[in-house]
Amino acid sequence: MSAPGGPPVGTSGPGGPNHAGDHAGDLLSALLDAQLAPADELVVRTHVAGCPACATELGAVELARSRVRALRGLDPPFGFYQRLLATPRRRRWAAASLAAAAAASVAFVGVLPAREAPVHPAVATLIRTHAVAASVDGDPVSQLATAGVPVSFRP
Amino acid sequence: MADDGIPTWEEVARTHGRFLYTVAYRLTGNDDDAQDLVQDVLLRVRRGLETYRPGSLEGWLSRITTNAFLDDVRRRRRRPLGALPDDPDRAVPPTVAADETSAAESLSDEVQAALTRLPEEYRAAVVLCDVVGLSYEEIGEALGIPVGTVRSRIHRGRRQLREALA
Amino acid sequence: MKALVGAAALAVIVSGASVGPVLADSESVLDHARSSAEASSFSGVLDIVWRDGNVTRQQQLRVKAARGVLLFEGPTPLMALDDARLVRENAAWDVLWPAALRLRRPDSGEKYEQRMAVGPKMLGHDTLVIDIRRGDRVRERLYVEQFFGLLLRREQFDDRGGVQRSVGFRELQIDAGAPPMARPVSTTTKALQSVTGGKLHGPYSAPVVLGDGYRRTGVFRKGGVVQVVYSDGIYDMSVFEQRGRLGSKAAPRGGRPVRVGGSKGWQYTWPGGQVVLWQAGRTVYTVVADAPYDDVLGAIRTVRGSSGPSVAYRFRQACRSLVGAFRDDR
Repeated sequence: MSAPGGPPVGTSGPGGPNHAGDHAGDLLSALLDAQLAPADELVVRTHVAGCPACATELGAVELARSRVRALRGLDPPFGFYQRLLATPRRRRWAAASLAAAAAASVAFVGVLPAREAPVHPAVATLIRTHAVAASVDGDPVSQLATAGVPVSFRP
Repeated sequence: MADDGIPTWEEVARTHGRFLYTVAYRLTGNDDDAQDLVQDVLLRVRRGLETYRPGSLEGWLSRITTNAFLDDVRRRRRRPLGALPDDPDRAVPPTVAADETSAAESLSDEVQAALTRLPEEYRAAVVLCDVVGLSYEEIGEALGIPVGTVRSRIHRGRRQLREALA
Repeated sequence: MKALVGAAALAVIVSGASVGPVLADSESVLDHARSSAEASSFSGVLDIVWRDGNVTRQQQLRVKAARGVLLFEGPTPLMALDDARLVRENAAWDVLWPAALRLRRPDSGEKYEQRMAVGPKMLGHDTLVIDIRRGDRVRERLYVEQFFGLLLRREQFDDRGGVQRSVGFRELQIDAGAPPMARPVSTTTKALQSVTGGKLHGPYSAPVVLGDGYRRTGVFRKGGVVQVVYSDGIYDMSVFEQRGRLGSKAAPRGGRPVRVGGSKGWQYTWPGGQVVLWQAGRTVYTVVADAPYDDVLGAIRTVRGSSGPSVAYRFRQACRSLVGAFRDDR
């Protein structure tokens, strides 16, 4: 939330972040949601007391928050549970089947995360990296020795 | 509930169906999509129950629901969907809880409409905070984003909501 | 790994007296072994044995130590320089772990129980033997030389009581008067940078707790590779995460196919433990663990990305169900 030893830093407020002289921005929401440390809360409240722009923004955000929080639970329509529990197989896929059919006509590669770059984990290096971490504050002889042995995975 | 504290799929569906449906409806804005989302979530839940550790079931379910929702959003962005089949059973809108007055009903329609107009990433954060009641850290865990991003998405979502509710 | 044994154990080590079984307390015999390895001068040959499926493999490794420098003379030399770790590649020493960095491990008391007794004579030395049990099964056995406190041999057992792997001296000369070894000064580092867990986002995650008593002890990063280190007090586990997808030939050959959540993965055995490699969503996971495989499975299942089916898996399921739905409807 705040940099250690520094005042809270907010973003997305007018005039930008960085110290208590600027606006509180999203810290206002954090204040409303009680997600600030007590010391930070005090700083933000003090700021709001002296900053009309932030006081207005706090009011706006507080209204939106309370309107959403006032929304009640919903009862699902008649037949919802029966459909859910009775014939899960058929019902579950009846709607998804059209989606799947549309998807199937697009190249398979468009649905998979094929846009992600291929990765070749350097397993031997990762093993050594782990063995080194495991040997810290532990027995170096037995922990490091296993990393000193060349790794191969012959089938 | 089973002895080891881990619920069966049916128990989850019955106990939490209303909660799941509510969250799904707040996320998607319409009944058809909400029902689909709940079904998708229950499918994931069924698979995920093997690794479930007793703890906050609501938090765990919320995480699955928003992931399912956002995955679906991303999927839809990539390619268009065919029309869903006509189903008279499913045309009935959800019933707001019985103790609300009709004035309150139209108010909540208005809020829901504004919520549905939010960009999905903002909407998910606001719903997890104000409908489900998760902390910023829990929301960060659910969405896989840092707490600072959670905070800014919630704040921007609320600002947009306020403008839409004027 | 660490073991915690009673203060009485140190008295035994110092006085050379023999005692009956001693229960775990608060002092650390392996801490003593570590500082012995750091302070002593010795040279020897280690036998490193490990079982990979039905095959038992073995390697020997020369090791030398003098005044805080511990050197393993294998094909790729490794060095422990007090608390730092270095590797020699391309005729230069690189830092793998900086001296100032520490890892705080959780207490092992809830998961493991330790018992110590007088051990057999090994290589002419009197030993103490420490059993580390989980439930009623012994997972590790350590033989610590009584006078200097050096760890002479360490064995890990499978669930049938057979030795899964071991590291032990086959030859050892303790030589207090050995000359000091050169302390390399290195300017290059291959160490990963330490990061705070909260700074990770996107496809990376670093939960503070995994299943089976594993708690996070550190998060490190270098470029696209994130390493999250966990410990249950005795064993360590590193979860390496890389954003991307596992190409069809990217997993080293020789792995045993396994399923992690809904994803296909591969398991490998190395002298010090296990590796499990799989892809979930946008992340490739490589878990390297010291613990016996059955014990590791419980923790691996709680790694994020192992608790749900991959996009590809769900798509294939949807297509199968699509065919099934049409067939049923006919």
